[in-house]
Amino acid sequence: MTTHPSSPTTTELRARLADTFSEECREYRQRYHDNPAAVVPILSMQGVTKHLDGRMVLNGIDLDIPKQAITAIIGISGSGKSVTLKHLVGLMRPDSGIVALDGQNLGSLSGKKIQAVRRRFSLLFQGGALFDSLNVFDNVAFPLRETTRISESEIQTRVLGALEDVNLSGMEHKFPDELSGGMNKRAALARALITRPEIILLDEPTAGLDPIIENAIHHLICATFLRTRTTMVVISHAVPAIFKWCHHVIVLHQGKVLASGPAMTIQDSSDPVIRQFIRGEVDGPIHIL
Amino acid sequence: MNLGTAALQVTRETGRMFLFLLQTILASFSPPWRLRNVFKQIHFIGMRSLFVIALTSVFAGMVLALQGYYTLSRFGSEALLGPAVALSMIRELGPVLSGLMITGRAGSAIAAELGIMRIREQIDALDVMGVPPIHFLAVPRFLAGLIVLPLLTVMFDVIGIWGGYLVAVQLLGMSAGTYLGGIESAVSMHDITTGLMKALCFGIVITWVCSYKGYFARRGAEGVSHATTSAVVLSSVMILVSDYFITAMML
Ligand SMILES: Nc1ncnc2c1ncn2[C@@H]1O[C@H](COP(=O)(O)OP(=O)(O)OP(=O)(O)O)[C@@H](O)[C@H]1O
Ligand SMILES: [Mg+2]
Repeated sequence: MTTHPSSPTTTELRARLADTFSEECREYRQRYHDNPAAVVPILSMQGVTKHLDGRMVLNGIDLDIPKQAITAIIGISGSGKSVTLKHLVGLMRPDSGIVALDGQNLGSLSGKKIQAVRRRFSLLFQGGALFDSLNVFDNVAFPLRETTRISESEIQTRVLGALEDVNLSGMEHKFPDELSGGMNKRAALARALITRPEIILLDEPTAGLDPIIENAIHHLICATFLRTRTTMVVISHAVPAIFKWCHHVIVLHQGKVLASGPAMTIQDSSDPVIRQFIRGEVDGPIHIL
Repeated sequence: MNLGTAALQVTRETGRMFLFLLQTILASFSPPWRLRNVFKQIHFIGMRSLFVIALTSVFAGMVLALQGYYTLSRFGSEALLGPAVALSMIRELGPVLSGLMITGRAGSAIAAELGIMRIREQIDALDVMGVPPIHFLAVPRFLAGLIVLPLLTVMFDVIGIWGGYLVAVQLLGMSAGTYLGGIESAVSMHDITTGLMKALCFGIVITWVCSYKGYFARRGAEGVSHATTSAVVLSSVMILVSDYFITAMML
């Protein structure tokens, strides 16, 4: 087990982030290989199928999201990653199968209960989903104002801090339509991180960002994890970089889970589909063109 | 599409609409009270409609007086012009025309705004944050509609009657006493309540139908434009249909 200082600051962490984290991942792989059952899932899906517009999108998904770890979901475009994520928060209901949080079936909850459950999550949408009528500051402050009793001055501090984390200082008075695509995404990321929930789901947090900011966002996610030990699920196309920044990887393909396991194991996989995907080759078992 | 499918679809849609109304009504009684949002909607639906309401009501009153004078003079009962204008205004034209104007000005905007929020996943975002979207979006508009429509209708009535006065007294040379005195003796409290009841109902219809259509918009920009159009059409139709039934009930 690696030792963590009781409360390391972000700056300190940044300096040795990659090292600390790869140490973590090695340890996670070891633990998983010794006894997979020792890795406690917080969220799980069993036999989930979903038809959208008459097309089978999820075709029997079984997966476990390990507690207090970063899980990456990867797969080709259209393989059902975003739809899977929406099932995990209960935004979409499965046609059949079960989505469970802490062993409790989300489908059986209703009304007030599902609301309470939702507050344990935050979700970064693939499209950002910032409110057009609010400026960046109010957007990021929104979940704090609506779902907590934090004082306005504390909100001010936290929002400005969160915006600084995503490199958006000085943008707080801009409206979403005045921001670039990447800035939009980062503001939305700040909104997803600000409530410090138990489970954070991020749909492509680094899509449309330049390589420097992409790296910075990976650092931010990782530092947030090391500070808070929050369960995180990240959908990402940043292959192979993402393998450095997560414990666990789930590969989706054609509405099914093709493989799942510790990042290092998946990266060394000999499955031709996974190898083609990781290397981004056009020729192979996946036919695109 | 065969008849059975169409019938099923209409039934399902109607059911969903009433469910939406029910959820909105229930949500209006549950905290937190978003007074600031309600005021914002009152400002948007009410304040910013004042000018159109003033403009349409004055012309509606004027044309009513002109037509009324022409008709009544055939029977030699020009003296009844005041009551004729006032009763048509208060019982019928005030609420109906205000309702139609507000549908066009605010209802379409409600449908478009919620529609865009839906297709950009902002409604889902509210849901995920644990903020019930109906409570956050539909309730303030619903309450604002309930409050604003009767107020705008009263304004419509007053300005309309004044428009009639302009034509009757200034243009046609009727005596002010005849015009106003007739109104005072002919209009009863019942007429006014009928008019206000209608306004209240139209306030519900407009905010309900337009919120519903926007809330369930689908398929991008075209979906939003479709939602907006059908919101305006359905809301207008429902105003006219419910107007008949309220009139029949309150006679
Ligand atoms: N609301 C919807 N209605 C109908 N079909 C949908 C809907 N959302 C997704 N789909 C379909 O489901 C499939 C999977 O979509 P999804 O958004 O999960 O893909 P993804 O893996 O996230 O892809 P990407 O990497 O491009 O974001 C797609 O074929 C898409 O057409
Ligand atoms: Mg996606």
